[in-house]
Amino acid sequence: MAEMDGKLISIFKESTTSSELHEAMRDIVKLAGVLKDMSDEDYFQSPVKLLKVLRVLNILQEDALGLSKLEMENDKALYYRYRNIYGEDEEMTFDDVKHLIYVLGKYNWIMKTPSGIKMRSLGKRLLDLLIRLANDSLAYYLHDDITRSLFQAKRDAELSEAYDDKGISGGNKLASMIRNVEEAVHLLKDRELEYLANRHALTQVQLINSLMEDLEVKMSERIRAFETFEDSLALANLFQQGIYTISEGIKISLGTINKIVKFTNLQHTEQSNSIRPELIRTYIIKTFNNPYDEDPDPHQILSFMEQDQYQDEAMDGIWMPVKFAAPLTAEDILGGIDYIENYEPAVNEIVEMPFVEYQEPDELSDEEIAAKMEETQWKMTKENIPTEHIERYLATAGGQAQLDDLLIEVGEGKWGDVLQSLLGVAAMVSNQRAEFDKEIKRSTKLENDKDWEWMEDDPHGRKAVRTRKPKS
Amino acid sequence: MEEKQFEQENQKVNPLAALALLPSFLSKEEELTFMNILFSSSARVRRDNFGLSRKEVEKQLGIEKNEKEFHLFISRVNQAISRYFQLIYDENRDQVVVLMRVNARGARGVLPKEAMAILMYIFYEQEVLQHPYTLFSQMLEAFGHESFQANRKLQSNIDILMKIGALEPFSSNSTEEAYRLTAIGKHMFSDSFLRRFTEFTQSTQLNMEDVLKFYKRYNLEGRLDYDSLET
Repeated sequence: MAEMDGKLISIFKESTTSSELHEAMRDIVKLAGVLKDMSDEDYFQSPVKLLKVLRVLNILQEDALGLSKLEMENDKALYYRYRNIYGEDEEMTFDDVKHLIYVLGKYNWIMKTPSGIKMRSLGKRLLDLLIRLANDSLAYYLHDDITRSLFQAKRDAELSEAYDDKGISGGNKLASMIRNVEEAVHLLKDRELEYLANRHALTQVQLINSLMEDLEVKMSERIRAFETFEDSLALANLFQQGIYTISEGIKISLGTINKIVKFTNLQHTEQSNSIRPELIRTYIIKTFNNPYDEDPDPHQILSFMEQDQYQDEAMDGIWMPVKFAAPLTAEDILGGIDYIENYEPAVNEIVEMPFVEYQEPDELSDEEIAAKMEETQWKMTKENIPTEHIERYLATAGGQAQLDDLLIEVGEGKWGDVLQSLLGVAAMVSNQRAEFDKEIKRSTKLENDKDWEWMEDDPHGRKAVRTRKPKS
Repeated sequence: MEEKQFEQENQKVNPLAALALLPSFLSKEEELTFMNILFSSSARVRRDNFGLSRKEVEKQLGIEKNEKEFHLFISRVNQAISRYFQLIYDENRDQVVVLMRVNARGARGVLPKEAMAILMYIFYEQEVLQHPYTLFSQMLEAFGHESFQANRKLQSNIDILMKIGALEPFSSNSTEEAYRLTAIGKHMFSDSFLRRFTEFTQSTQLNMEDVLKFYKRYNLEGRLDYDSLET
C-alpha cells in the first residue's frame, strides 16, 4: 500500500468514513473494554495482580500459537495450567479465571467452543501490544533519569526504523527523539556537578557518553532517511536543533569524563612545591567561558571538593559574610503582644486639627536699635583699648576727677601708662561714656614724682572728667 | 591545626556547639560585642556598611585605642569558633566583620561561577601580584573575548561581589573604572579551595603550606598563627 500513494499509513490521514478506520478504532474499544475491567483500585494498589492477568493471557496465547501440547478444553484447564506453572495463588482463583474468560469472550478476544478455548487474531494482536507496552515500560524504568531519556530517544529512532520505513506511521518519532535528547542533555547539565561530587560516577558518565554517541549515529541516519521525504522542509529546523543538541550532549558528557579523569590523575601526581603564577591567570580565563574541556570551573572544583579527599575539604567551601536575623528582645515581644491585644482600630475618619501658634514679633524702636548698635561698638572699642581702670578710678573718685589727677593716679607717674590712660579717656569721651567739664577743686594734692610734665600753660590738664550715662 | 583538631573532637555532636563554648573563652563584654558584630555583619541590615567599626567595638569592650587588646579580642574569638566563623578586621574600611564557613556543596549556590572566577582573578592580581587595584577594562579583555554582551555580564557579576562586600570601587584620579579587594574578599576563598584550584592550574598535587605561602596567607590578622604553632 505504501508504494501505491507514496504516503505513510496514518489514522490521521484517513477519511472518517472509511470502514477500515472504523474497524481499527473498534479494536481499541475492545482493548479498552478488557482494560476497564482491570482499572479499579485493587489493581492500582497491587499492580502485581495485573501481571497475573497478563500471565493468564500469555498462557492462552502460547496455546493459540500451538506451543502447548495439550488442547485447552475449558476454563478449568486454563486454571490448572496456571497453577502448574506459577503455583497456588490466592489472587488468581478459579473464579477469577472464570471471570476473566467471560470478559475476554465479551470483547471478542477469545472464542469459546465446546471443544476448547481459542484465542482469536484480535486477541493475539492486542495481547502482543500489551506485552510490548509492559516490556517497554520495564526497560524505561530500569534506567536512571538521564539514561532514561536517552533510552527513549534511542527507542524512538528504532521505532521510526520499524514503522516509518515500512510505510506505517509510527507517530512523530523523529521530533520525539530530538525532544528526548534535549531533555537528557538538559538533565545532564543540571547533574554534572553531582556527578563530579560522586567518587564512583565515572562509569555512569561513560555509559551516558556511549549512549549519546550511539544516538548521534542513529539520529543522523534517521535524519538522512527523512531528508528525501516531502515533509522534510518543515522539519529542517528541528533537524538542525537535534544535531546541535546531540553534539552539545556529547561535548558535555565527554567534558565531564575528562574532568573526572583529570581529577583522578591529579591524585597520582607527585607533590610539587613550585607554583607557576602565569598558569593561574590563564586557567581562570580559560574556564570562564568554556564548559566542555577538561578543566573544571570554580563550581566544579567545589563539587570535587565534596568528595572530601583531603581531610575536611568538603566543609571548607567558602567564607561568606553572615546574615543573621535581628534578635528579638523580651521587650520587643511584650510590646508586640501589647499591640495585638490592645490595638484599637480607627473607626472614624481621621480629622486633622491644624494647630497654629502665634508669636508676638520682637519690636525695637529706632532709638533702641541705635543704643544697641552703640553698645556693641563700645564693646568692640573696649576690646582694643583698656578702659576698666579708668572707670574704676572714676567710680572711687565719686564720678568725676581732674584729668591730670586721674592720669597721674592711674598711671603711677609712668609716661607710657599715662599715654595709654589718655587714650582710654579719649575713647570713653568719644563713645559718650565720659565728658570733659570745667576745672573742679582738687581733691588731693598733686604728687610731683612723675617723669613727665604738662606743656607750659597747657589748659587741658586742668579739665575735669566726669562719667556720663550713655543716652538711651 | 592543633586547635582545629581539638575543636573537632569537641563538636562532633553539633557544629554550632562552638558558639556554646564562647563564654569559656570570652568575658561577658567580649561575648556581647561578638554577638553584636555577628548581627551587624548582615548585609541586609545595613546596606553597604557591614559589621561594626573598630571604635564601636572598642567602646563595647571598654578599651580605648589599645592595639594589643583589640587584636587579642579578635584572635581569642577566632580560636573559639575558627571552625565555623571567622572574625576579621578591615583596616581600610574600618569594619569588624564575621564570616561564616559554607561547605563545598552549599558554596556552589552562593555565587555564580562567573562571579567566583572574577573574584579569583582579582584575588590573584591583588594578593599574589600585589597590584593595588584591577581595572574593569583589563577584566573585560580577559573574560569578554568569547561571549556576547560581555560587558553586562561582567558588570552584573561585579555587582554581586560588591553587594556582599568583597569588592569596592577603587577611587583614583583617573576616569578608569577600577576595583579593589576588601578584607572580606581577601578571606572568602577557603584554604582548601585555593589548594584544589591551584592543583588544577598546575596539574600537580601541592602542599597546603606552599599554597598558602603563595597566596600570602601567613599571619593574617585574626587567623591561626601558623608560625607560632610550629615553634
